[in-house]
Amino acid sequence: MSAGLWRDAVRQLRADRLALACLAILVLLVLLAVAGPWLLDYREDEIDWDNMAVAPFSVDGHWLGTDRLGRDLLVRTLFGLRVSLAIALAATLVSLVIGVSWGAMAGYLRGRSDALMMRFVDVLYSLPQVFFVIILTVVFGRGPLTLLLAIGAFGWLTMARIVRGQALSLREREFVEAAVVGGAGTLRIVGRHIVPNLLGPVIVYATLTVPQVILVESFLSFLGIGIQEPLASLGNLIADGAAEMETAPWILAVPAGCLVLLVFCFNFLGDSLRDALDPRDR
Amino acid sequence: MALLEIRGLTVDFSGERRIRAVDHIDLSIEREERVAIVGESGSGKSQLLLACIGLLAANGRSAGSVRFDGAELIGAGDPAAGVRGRGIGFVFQDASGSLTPHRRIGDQLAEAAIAARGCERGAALAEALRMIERVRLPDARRCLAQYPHELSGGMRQRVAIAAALMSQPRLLFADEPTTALDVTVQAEVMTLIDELCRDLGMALLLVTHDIGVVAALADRIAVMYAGRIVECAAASAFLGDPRHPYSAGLLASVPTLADAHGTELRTIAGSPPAPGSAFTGCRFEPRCPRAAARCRAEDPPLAVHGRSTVACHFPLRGEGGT
Amino acid sequence: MSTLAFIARRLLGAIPTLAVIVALSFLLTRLAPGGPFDEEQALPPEIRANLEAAYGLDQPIAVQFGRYVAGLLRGDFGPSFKFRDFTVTELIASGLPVSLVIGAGALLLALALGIPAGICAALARGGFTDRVVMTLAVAGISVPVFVVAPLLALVLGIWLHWLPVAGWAPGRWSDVVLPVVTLALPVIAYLARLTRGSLLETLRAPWIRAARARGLPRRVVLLRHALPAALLPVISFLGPAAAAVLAGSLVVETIFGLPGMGRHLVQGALNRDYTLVMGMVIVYAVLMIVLNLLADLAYAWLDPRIRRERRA
Repeated sequence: MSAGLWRDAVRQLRADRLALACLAILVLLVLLAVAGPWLLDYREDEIDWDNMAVAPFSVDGHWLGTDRLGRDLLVRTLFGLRVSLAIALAATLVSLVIGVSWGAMAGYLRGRSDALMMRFVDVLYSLPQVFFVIILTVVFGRGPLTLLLAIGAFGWLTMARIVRGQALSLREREFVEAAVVGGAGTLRIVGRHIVPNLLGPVIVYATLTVPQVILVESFLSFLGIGIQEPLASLGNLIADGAAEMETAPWILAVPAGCLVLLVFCFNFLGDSLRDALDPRDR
Repeated sequence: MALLEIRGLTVDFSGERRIRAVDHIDLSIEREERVAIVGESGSGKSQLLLACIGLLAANGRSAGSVRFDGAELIGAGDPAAGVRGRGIGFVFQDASGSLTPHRRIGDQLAEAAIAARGCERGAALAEALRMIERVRLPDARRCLAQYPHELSGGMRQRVAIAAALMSQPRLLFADEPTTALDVTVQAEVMTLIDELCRDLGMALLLVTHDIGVVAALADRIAVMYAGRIVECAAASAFLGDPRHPYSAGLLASVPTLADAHGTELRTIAGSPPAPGSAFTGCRFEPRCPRAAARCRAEDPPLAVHGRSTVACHFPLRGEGGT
Repeated sequence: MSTLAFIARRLLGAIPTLAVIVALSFLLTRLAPGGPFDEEQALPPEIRANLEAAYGLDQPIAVQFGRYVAGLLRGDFGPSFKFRDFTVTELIASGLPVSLVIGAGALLLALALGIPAGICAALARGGFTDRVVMTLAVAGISVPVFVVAPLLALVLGIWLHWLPVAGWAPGRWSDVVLPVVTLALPVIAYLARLTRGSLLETLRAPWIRAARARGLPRRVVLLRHALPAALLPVISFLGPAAAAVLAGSLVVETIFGLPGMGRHLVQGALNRDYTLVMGMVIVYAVLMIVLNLLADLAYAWLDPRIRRERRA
């Protein structure tokens, strides 16, 4: 991708105030997730026997109230945020690495190898993702690592497709020809020339993948098949909240609000990035 | 009263910058007259046509007056709606882009007739069949049942012409109708347009960048440069005796069989101004071999010189041309 | 190639996929560390050995696989390890109608609301309607089913007492409303966005301008020329939409207490009931293959270029 396209994209993004706001919120959330719990009084599994299920802003120290077991809601939510973000980023990274390598190789090699590699992607793609992740959790036990690998195992497919499409067209460009003529090996060409020029769509897609992973993980945690208690994830916090929503709606509202905010901002930012990097809209 | 009367037509596009594509154009076309507008890309000639029938892009605004048979086409609302397809037919440059890919050709032709005249579907289809035959497509019946992608480029353009004629317009706008076609097909399509105009008694406003196409067909020729008409004359006058340096350059640049092998192609130095540029003085001045100080300072108005109307401070006098 | 041949060819093509799914599910569940009886209270080894023999778990894997596939072809998904009184087939049979009603209802509702919303937004481009619809749409995509479901249950069921929040009495249609609406919302949002984008892009096509130049009224241009082309990507989306609905049904059935397949699947997953989980996954996979096939058929029917190529 040309430098000009990047510059225009950055300029367009800087002008898009809503997108910038989303970026700011995301940065804030990440900071809160990483540093927040240290700054607060309570630990995430600490039971405050005197203050069970209190509402937000009603008791000192418990800013957003407590759950039915007296655990501080803000701290638990931040921990849940931490877990969800960690898994999402890790799974996205896994998807990215596998997907980009696979797709770039397939697109560059073309012909039989490409057909074979993409066939593999097609077959896996037709499998119902959520259900297979469920099977994997049934088999390998529930927990963060299984979840990370299971989700990552499916997440790379679409990335591979997108990257392959880009690689196919990049392959025809002069600088690739020049590299071939110069005697560079396949790996070097793919690594040095093709991949760096794919960064645009890859970044957009990665930004859009993160919220999807967060949703899948929360979905499973909500059902009890994902992150297990007492480890907090936004998903199982929401499940707790749903059980208590008649009497203590904040137990649902806080983690739910956090999740929605997180996903919305990622989606919006990803959309804006995509619009900014799309040369057609000029 | 002229069939089409354009007075002071201006087309502006809003966006990052305001771009004036058409700048105060005056032009009139009589019944059954054929007028050709010649100009390079970016001269605004296509936008001129689109503005007349109210099909500018969403960020385009037209001002001035365009009267078709006395009725005003420019203004708020969509005053040109009544004239589209009914008084004025339009043939686009890209034939593949003129026909809806997922509808059969017969349906598309018939619905144009139904929209224009409210006739019945059976009658409309019969009319469509006649029109396909008139544009000399073989196996007309089969053609009606086909989809656009099943025809070749040249055949598609004939169908597009047929579609434009379905509502029996009195004036045909043709926007570079042969540019996208093979050279061998170009001549056939131009001949077809020529005959149709004659047989159906239609006036023609042909827009092109190719002078060769224009020579045989046009009654009058207008030259557009950077959104303005810089010369307008009867065809014979223009071809034999162009008055504007730009016109002379255009005519001279056409390679002829008389040129010896190895002769360099004659071009007009420089390139046309980018749309949206601001002007003081004559727009052609940077590229004009006859430019003087007055040309830089003053924008020449259109004035009559001999048999042409020219916008130039120092028009040519009986020199040049082919 | 006639329509029948097209369907036959696609079904044949789906068989390898199905085979992969069956094989993968089977292998994964069998290769898992630990068996289905691990979580019982400590069983004396002889009883466990008997149990395993009774379920055929002591045979070599290849044999187990063969017996399983044979059973599948008979329509027998094996016994449920946890619900000892039921076979998986029975559980599937009892749950399938419920899930189908909810899922089909959600898809139809989504099509009926999402597409028109997208069209309105496209036609009002940049205007108030457009911005409202699009913001709602982004919200709809961002708010997951498991957040919407409890919220709707809370507001419409508990606070306003308009709709029942749990249970499934056959014939009582009000039971269906909340689950169907909840399930449909994200799909409505996505369809609205998709339709709007596709229609806007289609309206920029040169042949739309040519149609208007022929004097066709706006309504005709929109309905007969623009929409059929604009809806093609929407049809393509039906496959993934169905998958999303199937996945969402897991949550919806759990929250609203509906006796559908989804709830059985979740229970099975929590109980590590292998045959149940496997059986459910296979049924879901078949459902998705069928739905994808239907979507492909609809697409081919709408796009004459594909239709003509098939006939050639």
